Amino acid sequence: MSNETKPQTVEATDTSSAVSSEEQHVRRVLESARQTVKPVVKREMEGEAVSEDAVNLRFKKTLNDSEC
Amino acid sequence: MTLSASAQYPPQNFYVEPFPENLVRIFPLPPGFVEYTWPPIQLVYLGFYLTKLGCKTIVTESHYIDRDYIHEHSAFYSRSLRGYPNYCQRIHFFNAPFGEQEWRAFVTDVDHRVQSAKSLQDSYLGFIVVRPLPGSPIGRSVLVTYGNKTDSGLTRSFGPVRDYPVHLGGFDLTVRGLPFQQQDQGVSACATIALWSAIHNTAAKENLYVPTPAQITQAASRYVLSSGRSFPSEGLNLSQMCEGVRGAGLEPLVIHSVSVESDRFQLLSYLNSGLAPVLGIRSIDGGDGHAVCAVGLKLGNIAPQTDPDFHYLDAGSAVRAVYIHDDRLGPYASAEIGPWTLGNGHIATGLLIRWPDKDIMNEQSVLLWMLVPMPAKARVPISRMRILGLNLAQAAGELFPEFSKRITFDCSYRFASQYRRSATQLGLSAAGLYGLNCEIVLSRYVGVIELSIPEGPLFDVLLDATETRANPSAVAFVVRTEFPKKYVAQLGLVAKNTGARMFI
Repeated sequence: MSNETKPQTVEATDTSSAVSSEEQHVRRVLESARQTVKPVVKREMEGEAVSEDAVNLRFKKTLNDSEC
Repeated sequence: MTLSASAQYPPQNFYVEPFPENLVRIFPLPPGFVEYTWPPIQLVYLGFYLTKLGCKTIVTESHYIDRDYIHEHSAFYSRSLRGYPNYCQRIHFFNAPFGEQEWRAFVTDVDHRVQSAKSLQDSYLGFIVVRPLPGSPIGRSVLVTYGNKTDSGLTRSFGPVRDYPVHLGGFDLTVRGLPFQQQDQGVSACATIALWSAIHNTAAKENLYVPTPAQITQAASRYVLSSGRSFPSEGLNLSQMCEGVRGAGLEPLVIHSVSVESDRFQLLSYLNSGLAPVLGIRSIDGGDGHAVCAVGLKLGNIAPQTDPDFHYLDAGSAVRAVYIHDDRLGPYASAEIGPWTLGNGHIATGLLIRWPDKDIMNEQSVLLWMLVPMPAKARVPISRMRILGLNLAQAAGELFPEFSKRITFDCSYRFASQYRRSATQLGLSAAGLYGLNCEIVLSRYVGVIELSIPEGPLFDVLLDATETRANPSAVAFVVRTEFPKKYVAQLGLVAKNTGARMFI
C-alpha cells in the first residue's frame, strides 16, 4: 500500500538537492532553446489573423457564386 | 370516380450495368426551368473520380432509405408542395467487370458464397445515395480514397477515414472513406455539409450519435440566427458552426490562421490524429466565405533548415496539398497550399483548389480559420504541443550534435490504451514496458510528440491532454529504437527538467 501513495515524479520536482554540472548544462541548453524559438512561438501564438471579419462572415458559397 | 387509397410497399430492383463513359447520362435533366448549370459539376467530378479509380460496373438499388435524407425530408421536403418521395436510390461502384447474370450468380450460388463475397469486396469502390431532389441529387456518398502514392511519388494520407458497413444483396461489404454530399440549399449550405463530414469520424470514435445535416443546421441556428432563416439554409457563420459542433456532443476548437508554417503543421497533426478540420476560406476576389472539410494530405520531403540558429526541421514543411471534401466540387479534391500575399502585405495561407484534369476550377482562396470538432477530453491544442516540440527539438539538436539539422517532430492525439498496446513494438526493456503499462496514469487521449531523425524515431513525449495552459502537462518520455544509449542519461535530465518520467 505504501508504494501506491509514493509520488511517481518526485525526482522531476525535487530541486532542493545539489544539482550536478551535467544537469546545469542541460538546464542551460533548455533555456537557450526556449530563447531561440521564442520569436517563432510569439509569431504563431500572437500573430495577426488574416481577416478581422472572419467571425461574422457567412459561409454559404455555392458553385454558381463562383461562376458569376 | 374512385379515390385512391393505395399504400402498397414499393418494389425493390437491382440494375447491373457497365460504368458509363459519362456518369451524367444516368441522371435525368430536371423538368422545367433549371436556374443553374446542368449537369451539376459534382456529377461531372464524380464521373472523373470514379474513372480514375478504375470503375467498371455499377449496381443500382432502386429503393433505399437513407438516414440523412429522411431527416431532410422530415424537416423540410415533406412540407413542400411538390410530393418528394421519402426514399432514395443507391448506386454501388466496382472496379471489376460483371453483368446481370454474374450478379445473380453471386447472390444465389450458395456453394461459392465466400468467394462471391470476397470478389465483391475486393472490387468495391463505395456508393452514392441519389436523392429525389432534381437539382441536388448527390446525397451521402462514401467512396474509397486515392492510393498512397501520387504519380509523381508524393505520399498521400487520409487520417479521418474509417470503415463503413454496406449491406448489399445479402452481402456485408465495407468501404473505407469519409462521407461526402452535395449541399441541397434546403436544409444545408456548404458550412453544414463540411461540419457533417468533419464530425463523422470523431463522433464515431467517441461513441456519439452522428447528426444529420438537418440536425446540424437546426442545432447551429437554435440560439444564434444573425440574419435570414434556418430553412432554406442561407449558410452559417463561425459562431453558429461552433454551436453545431456542441450540438453533436463535441467541442469546437477555432484556430485563426496566422502563418503558413503553423497552418501546415496543424493540418498535418490534426489529420494524422484522425480529426478532420473544417476550413473557412475566402476567394481572393472576396464575397461570401466558403467552408470545406479537410480529409487528407499530399506530402513531399521535409524542407531543409535554412536558419543557422535552428537545429530542427519543421515536419509541416512536407505538406504540399490538402485533400478536401468541397461540396461544390466533390470528395477528395486537391487544394495546394502555399503562401499568398494579400493587398495589405500580410502573407496568408493560400489554397489553390484544382479541378482534377482541367483548369476550369482553379480557384485561389486564402485560409481564414480552421474549426476542429474535438473530443471533450482532448483540451491541449496542437499549437501548445508544438511549442514544447519546438523547444525539445531545438534542445536535442544542441545537446546531441549528431541530430542537429536532422531532428524533426510530429504531434498527434492518441488513445492512451492504443499507445500502450503499441508499446510492445517500441523496443522498450521489460522494466520500461511494465512501467509504461502499469506504473503511470494517462489521460484517455494523450498528446504524443514524436521526435525523430530520417533513420527512425528517437523518443516520444506523452502529454496529459486534459491539462490547462497554466500547468505543465508532460507526463512521460519514452525512448525509441534509434536513440543512442550513450545519451540516455542526458535525456533523463531533460525529462526530469520537463517534469516527466522516462521509460527506456
